[in-house]
Amino acid sequence: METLIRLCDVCKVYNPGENEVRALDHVNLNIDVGEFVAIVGHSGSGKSTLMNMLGCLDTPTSGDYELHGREVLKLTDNELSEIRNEEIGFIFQGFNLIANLNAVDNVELPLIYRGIGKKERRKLAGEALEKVGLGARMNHKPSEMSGGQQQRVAIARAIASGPPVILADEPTGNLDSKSSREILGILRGLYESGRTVILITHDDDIARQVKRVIRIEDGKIEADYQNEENEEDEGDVQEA
Amino acid sequence: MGRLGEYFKMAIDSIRSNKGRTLLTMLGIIIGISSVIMITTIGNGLQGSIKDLYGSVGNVMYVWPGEDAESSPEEITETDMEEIREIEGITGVTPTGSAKGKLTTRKGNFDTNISVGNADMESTDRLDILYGRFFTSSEADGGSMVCVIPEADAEKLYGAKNVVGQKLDIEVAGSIQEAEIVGVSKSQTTSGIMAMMMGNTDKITLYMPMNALNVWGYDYSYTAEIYISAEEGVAADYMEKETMDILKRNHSVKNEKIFEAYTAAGEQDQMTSMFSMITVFITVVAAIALLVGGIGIMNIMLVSVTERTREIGIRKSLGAKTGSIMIQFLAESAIIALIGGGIGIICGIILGLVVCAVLSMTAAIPWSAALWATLFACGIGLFFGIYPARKAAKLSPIEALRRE
Repeated sequence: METLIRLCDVCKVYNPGENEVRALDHVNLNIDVGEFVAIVGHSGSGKSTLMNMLGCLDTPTSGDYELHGREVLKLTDNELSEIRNEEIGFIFQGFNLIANLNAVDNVELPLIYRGIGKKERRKLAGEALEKVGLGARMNHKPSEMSGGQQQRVAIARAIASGPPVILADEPTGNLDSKSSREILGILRGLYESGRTVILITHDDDIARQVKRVIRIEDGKIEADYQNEENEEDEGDVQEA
Repeated sequence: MGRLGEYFKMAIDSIRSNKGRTLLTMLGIIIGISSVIMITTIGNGLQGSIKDLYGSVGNVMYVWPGEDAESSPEEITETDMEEIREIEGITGVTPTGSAKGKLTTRKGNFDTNISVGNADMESTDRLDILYGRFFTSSEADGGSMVCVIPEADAEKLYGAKNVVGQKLDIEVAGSIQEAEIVGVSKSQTTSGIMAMMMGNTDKITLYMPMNALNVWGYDYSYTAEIYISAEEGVAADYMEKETMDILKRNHSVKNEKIFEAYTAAGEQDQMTSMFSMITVFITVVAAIALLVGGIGIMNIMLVSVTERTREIGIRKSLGAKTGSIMIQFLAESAIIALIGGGIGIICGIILGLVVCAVLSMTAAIPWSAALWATLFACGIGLFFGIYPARKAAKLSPIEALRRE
């Protein structure tokens, strides 16, 4: 498998000096194209920092980060924006939709920043919303939708431009169990259609449903293992 | 290019979701721009009126005793007037004076202002004769009881315009004498305008030979004030210099102020320069208003950036570059200023037209000022938008996303 993400000896230090906080401590990590990975850790373990790093929202203090063959450390702010736009689809715990835009406008945002024309944009955004089962709610504002629906809009936004990596930060953290199952189902579907899905969570139950689990504690990788063949309780998705 | 349109659309969307606040922000710009446009509209109207006024007065000059001769005015003799008449371009020279009187017709009692002079008054006073004729030189010299009346006054006295041949009983200084109307002139005459400027519009104007005043017992043989008219295009200062040279030579005047001259063109220049000064002053005041308005925009944009930190974070995480955020926020402040400017221009024009209508002036909408105001408003929006927009664009995405 082609390597998508390569972290080499990555450190992230906040407040360097006396009271420095080592959020990431010499992390080495490889993720291949098409993997389904859960990064698990308690709050304060450094998993959010790792997620920011992987998402090119933040840059390491030291070490190397290679995403899709590009050295992230050497990129300017605008180049980082470009990478986020082209390589990564974000799904956040708090959905992070823009309140005064309706569903389809929200989904179109990354396509606007990529410079795709209006017609093509509408088409891609529409398709993405269909894919998450919200084809009928394109013109609803976030405030007119349930949490689960909002998160599905966010997923549609993350996949609309077809980025190779989907980065989901506690995507079910604000949702009830039924919506959580739906969202996880959609993410699994994305993985099955060949995308790399990285899920950040503190929930072991969710981690158990994911193929590869990376446990992080105190800024260090504690464990990195493959789950045995999934014993899915939903049973709606099966490995081929 | 299409993307720029997208940023403008984003800006409009966020302006829309904050209508009330945006309107309040615009207020400074609206007030600034509308006052400029209003003042310019009124100023244009006023300038136009002044131009019309002096245009109808014509190229005339008035000579009267200077401050060193106020108590004993020097007489301007027939010889002086003859010599002045010889100056190239001069069309007429007349002694001038006036008398107040009363007259009665079937329509009622009227006060009258009798303008007196010689036959040249037809040209110095720009009397376009509609019916009949002006009085002749011999009538003027002989002091005949003949008069010319403006058509509007004829209408007041008789309810008709062509009143040639009518006889008027005119009371001046207690004695009543009869005069015959020999001509009717157009109403826009020099003395008519002067009377209007002095607020004497209700008085009936009559033009009569100066010597006719003797009939009522006045002695008007001593001339101290004269009117001189020149062809169109004869420069006011040339007229003044030539005339004054003759008078100074004939009366051996050195540096004393024995005679003083007044030209309509000079007065117009003075009025015009006064107006440009007022315009400059108003522009400065308006510029201050616009500056304050611009600071208002900057202030509200800073608030907006703080409020929308999270939105900025989301946009950045989705791939918005520094420039994209910058353009979005700049577009927002420019649009606010532009809409404010637009409303200001409309309000200013309406107010200006209303004021012009009330003062019965011909209004001229200052389109070029409107264009400049628009550009200026846009510039203000952009200039005062730069700081907040930079602040927004420089936000780090994680910091911005962390903010609730």
